[in-house]
Amino acid sequence: MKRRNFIKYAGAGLIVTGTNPAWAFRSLKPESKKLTILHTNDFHSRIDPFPPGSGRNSLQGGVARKSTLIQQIREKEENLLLFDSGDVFQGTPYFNFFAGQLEMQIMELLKYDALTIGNHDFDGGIENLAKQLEQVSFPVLCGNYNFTNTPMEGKTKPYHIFKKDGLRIGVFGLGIELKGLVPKDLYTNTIYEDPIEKANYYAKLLKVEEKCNLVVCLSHLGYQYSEDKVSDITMAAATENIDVILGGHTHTFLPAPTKVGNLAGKSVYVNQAGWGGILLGRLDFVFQGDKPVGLAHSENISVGEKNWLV
Amino acid sequence: MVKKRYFCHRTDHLIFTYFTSYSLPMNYLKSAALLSYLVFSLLGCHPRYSGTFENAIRYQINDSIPEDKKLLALIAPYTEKLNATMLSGIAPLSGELTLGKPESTLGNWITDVLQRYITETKGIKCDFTLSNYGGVRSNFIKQDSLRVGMIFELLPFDNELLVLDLKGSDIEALVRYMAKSGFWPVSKGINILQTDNKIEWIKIQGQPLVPEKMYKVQMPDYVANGGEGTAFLANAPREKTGMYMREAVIEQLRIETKKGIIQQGMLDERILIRNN
Repeated sequence: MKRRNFIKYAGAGLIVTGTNPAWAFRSLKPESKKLTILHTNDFHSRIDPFPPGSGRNSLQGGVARKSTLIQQIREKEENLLLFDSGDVFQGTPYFNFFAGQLEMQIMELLKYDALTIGNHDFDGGIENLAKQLEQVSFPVLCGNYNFTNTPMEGKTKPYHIFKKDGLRIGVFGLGIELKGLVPKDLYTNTIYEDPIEKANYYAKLLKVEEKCNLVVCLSHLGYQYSEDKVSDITMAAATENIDVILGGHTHTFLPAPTKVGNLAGKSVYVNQAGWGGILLGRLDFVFQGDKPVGLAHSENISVGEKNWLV
Repeated sequence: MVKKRYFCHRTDHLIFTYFTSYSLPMNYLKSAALLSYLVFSLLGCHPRYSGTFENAIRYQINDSIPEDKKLLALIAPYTEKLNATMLSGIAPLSGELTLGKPESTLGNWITDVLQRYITETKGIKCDFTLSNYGGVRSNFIKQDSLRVGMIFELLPFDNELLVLDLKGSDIEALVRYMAKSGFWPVSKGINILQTDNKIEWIKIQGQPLVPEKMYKVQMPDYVANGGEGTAFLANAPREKTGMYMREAVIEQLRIETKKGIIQQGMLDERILIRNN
């Protein structure tokens, strides 16, 4: 598609400007660009499909099927990013026996682009987490865990900017408070820092200073709580410069992304894809050139449940 | 057509430069705009992009999708090692086990197995056993034969069983705390009546709870160490069993299977809620 456009426009440019193809490039109105984001969360070591006798989850999921689906989508979409929002570990004997080794090999094979850390990813101990993450080449993003003086020091970064066909996609990660959720001897000296403060800081950095076209937060804070506790919904409302929050932790099956108004009155989309590899979430964005950086939010969302034939 | 676009394009750059520079002081704005215009003119086409949200889809991963052979090959050696242990059957099960609140067949069953383990198999005096709701990780089991792998999935956490010495008043506090989230799985040995969101009474081993009396309560170390918002338990005296919850369940089930016992879930109103 891109190549065909190039030839077409280059040809047209030659006719108009005479001989110099460089001028032809300059004369083009930029074409629209499409970005597809795929996302998962709370995999919980569900390598195989749920066994029969697991109620409504019976025979759902399975990484070998997910791999086929992702490949199908990759074949059709040029600009694709694949993210996970944490809790890859814990939940089947694969984790008890192999400590997350297989889970990380699978994520590498599926070519994930980034991951944030969930509370259960500490279940094998922080040293084990650091060791297992050595198997992957994609960035592990977390902006609010301070890992100084732990085995995880230097193994994560707060954010990463992905460049896709001239688009800049800024992605940062946020983790949940570990105290009271994870035994201290598993997370050791990890310091939890205020997620809203960090979200505002990194989102502004990405949107304003780094001029990203889209700012995505990978969050393991959880979708929403009845008690007064920071969640994706409260974080979306208390921040600005975030376009999309891809969440986890609460194993929430959302029929469609939730639209939340942020501090600046703009829309933030919060999504979560159940758990255990039962769902794969997908969000498509279309970008038009010659306009301000960012998401214009003249959205036209159609939501559907689809089988694998894309 | 193409020529016209070329001129429009440059104008767009100028407008855009103003747009992004709105936070700068006015005197700076004009020169910044001019400079940007010159830079963009020299470099040619440097479009910025704005996006619209077009589409959201959730794909169901199920058997309509063929399995990727490459993944299956990666997984196979791991599965083989696991299956040697995990597929071995340990106990026959009659009917189904479902997790729920305030009490449930699965919650009652798992805590009863652990209570029988500590009292009958280990011979340790214990008034009742509890587990945090989130510690039980399967919602539903319906199998003729319980296998090791299922117990791993039911109790995946490396939580050791502890027996705590608790004052009656501590148990009261614990029950009130459990009630806030709709109650947790508890074994036989404790009975609770709640009326209109108020704890009416608590009985231990059939007798009304005495606030000053000491009792023995088995629970995962996660809860005993304050991991479930239960910091008020963290200083209570305790005895270690040296067993993870799932190890204790597997051992107890094997013992009972040898005796010809068939596992079965049941509800007996150990936690009773009345709303008038």
